[in-house]
Amino acid sequence: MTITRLLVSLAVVLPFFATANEDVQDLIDDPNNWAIWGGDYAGTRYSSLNQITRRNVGGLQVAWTFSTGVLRGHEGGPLVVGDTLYVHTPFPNKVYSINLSDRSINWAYAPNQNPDTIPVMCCDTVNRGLAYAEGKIFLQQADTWLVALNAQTGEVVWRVRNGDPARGETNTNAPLVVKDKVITGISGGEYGVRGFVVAYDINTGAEAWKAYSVGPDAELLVDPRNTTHLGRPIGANSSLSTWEGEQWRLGGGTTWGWFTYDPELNLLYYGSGNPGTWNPVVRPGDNRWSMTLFARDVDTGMAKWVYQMTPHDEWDYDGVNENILADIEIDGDMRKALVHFDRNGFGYTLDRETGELLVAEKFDPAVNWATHVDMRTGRPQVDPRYSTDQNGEDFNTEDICPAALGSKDQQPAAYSPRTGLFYVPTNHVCMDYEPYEVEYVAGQPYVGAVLEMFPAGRAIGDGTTNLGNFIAWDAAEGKIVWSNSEPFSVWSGALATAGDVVFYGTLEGYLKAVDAVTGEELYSFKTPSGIIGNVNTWVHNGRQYVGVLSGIGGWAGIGMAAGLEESTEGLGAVGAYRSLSRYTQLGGVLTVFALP
Amino acid sequence: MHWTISALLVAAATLAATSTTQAQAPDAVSSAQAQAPAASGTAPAPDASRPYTVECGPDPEEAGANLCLVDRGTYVGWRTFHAICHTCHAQDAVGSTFAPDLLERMRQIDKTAFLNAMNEGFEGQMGIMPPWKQDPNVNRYFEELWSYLLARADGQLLPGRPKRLPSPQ
Repeated sequence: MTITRLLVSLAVVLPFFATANEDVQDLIDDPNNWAIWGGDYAGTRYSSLNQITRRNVGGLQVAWTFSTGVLRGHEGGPLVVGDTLYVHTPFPNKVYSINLSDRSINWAYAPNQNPDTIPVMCCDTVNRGLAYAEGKIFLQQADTWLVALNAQTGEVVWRVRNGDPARGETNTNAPLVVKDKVITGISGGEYGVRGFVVAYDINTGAEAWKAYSVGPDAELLVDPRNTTHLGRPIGANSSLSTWEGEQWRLGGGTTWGWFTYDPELNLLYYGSGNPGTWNPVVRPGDNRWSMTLFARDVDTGMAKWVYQMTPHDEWDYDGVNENILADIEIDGDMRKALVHFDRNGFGYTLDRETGELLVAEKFDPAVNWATHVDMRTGRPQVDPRYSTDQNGEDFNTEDICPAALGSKDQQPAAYSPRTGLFYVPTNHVCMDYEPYEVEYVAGQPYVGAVLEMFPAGRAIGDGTTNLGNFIAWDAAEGKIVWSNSEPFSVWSGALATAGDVVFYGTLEGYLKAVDAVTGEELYSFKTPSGIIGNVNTWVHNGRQYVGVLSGIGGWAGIGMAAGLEESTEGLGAVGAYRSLSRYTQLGGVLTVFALP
Repeated sequence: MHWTISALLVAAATLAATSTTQAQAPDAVSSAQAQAPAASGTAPAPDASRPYTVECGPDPEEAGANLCLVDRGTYVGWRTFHAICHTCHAQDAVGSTFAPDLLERMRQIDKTAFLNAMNEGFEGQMGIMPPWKQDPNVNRYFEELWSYLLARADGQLLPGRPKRLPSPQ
């Protein structure tokens, strides 16, 4: 970290006043709040708070706790605005407003949702949290209702239906408020749902624009001449021409990840998920624009640029992970960069203004499905041994790295402008994958692949059994700076602070603090349940707090839940199949830490 | 590891040798030398209550690993399970944080209850299973899923990917 780099990043922050939602931007600018899922619009998950430092974090203690009263997987994290903390739960998506002065509950919102929603949520009934703006709390419920609540009273101001669970459409994402719009997406990638992003008016719930991931140009909100892919116009029918017949109607490209925003460029960033069925053989073509990063004008929804990371997916490498906006020096030039750690195992650095691809390197050395990304075409060079399409239907392609849950899933990374490093929670899991033909029926799973997952060490034969790593990444060089092995996938969103401490949670339930420079573990505490939530920080009455939801669940534990039963697998894998249930049990609890 | 006919025959011979030299307690699945009925002649004929044929033994191609050979129906059940059911009930049917361990559950229900749950869905203490009668990718394989899950619950079929037995002549 240099002074110049700090000044440059500060300089970039200033123009943010111009076009963001001013209320949200004001709240973000006060580091005592945690007003937005990513800490800021750029999704850095960095806090300038520095009471807790790498020197004193070892003395951290639990200050208070709060039970959400809900089992199931607790993703996302609390928002803090002034004296109030807002926390959400998995289905039935309760919201609590907590008075930080006496830790009493101001109000609770408990929607009455259709329980038929539950069975069409593929991988647990998670919810990734709330958005706050102009006196309202925005909740994207599982049954697709987007609800605006009065932040003072918890009363419903308006609500709008965003999809239909009978067709497999559900929601898990956190909304994002930009200007007078609240942005949301849709889940259901395993149900043939055609993904879209929608902007609703924050005051009325009226739809401002809606942009699909796949289909006709008009519904994509693209301009064939001015929307670019790696600097070139995408042309007419850019999506339709990459599908056979009407397959795009089941084209997937769902949008269940995180949203970030650059007020200076007025661009909204997000990624799309897997194309239709997991059986690639029946959907020849690139299947655009599934598995794609989008940069859209937030006023009109019009796409400025797109970049498809995994054309013609054969492995379920959804492209929905967060896009962190940071200005970093690459080859001597300061670049307005976007950094994205994809499910497919590549860490991408792009120019967020133009969509130019700057860096694409593996952030887990185990990644083997592609040898590299061609920097001219942007295409991954698929290793035919791991091509489930080339190997064909009813053939089991073995030892593909990463597994379908990716080298990293939704758990968001953090970026510290002080170290210039990205802190990334990762999975170290590989798989066997056998595609086969399935029929589509609305509201029923539309998968078409047999999947088995196991520790990466079994596939690469290095004798390791860990299922996760927590790494520091240099996005300019595309290199791992340090890597801490974790026995299970790290499925918790990271936090970096000006105290040069980085926080994350583990599936066994540990909240850990590590040195931002070296990765050395400085503190750990076992919370009541496994952590798949994000670590957030705030100040109340002059004191810095760090809070995280625990509550094991989600896709994180699936496939790794096998107990001590003898397996047909080789001996090398046996040690890793330690059941999570030996370490943790269900239960949602917010644990808040502070120095004594 | 790609399966070949010759490897199959070697495996079958190995399994036969294992089963003839080792007396097996019914609960011997937890040992590395799993119960392995002989492939030729002595294997119990499938019956209505136990529709599966499963033969587990050391994998001739991977030291330290086991290999299970199963009949076609059990194999199809395994495949259907690991395409659909595993997203909640986890690999090998051992359960997850939001869906029960089916090895335990299968010991508590009969086939009528199983088929009813598959057709109509099931609301239990942990959550809700949707009805599968409308899903052509599942509803045609209820018998196969029953066979697979029974073989798992009985301790006959070990975790992991099984191979298919050679088709009967």
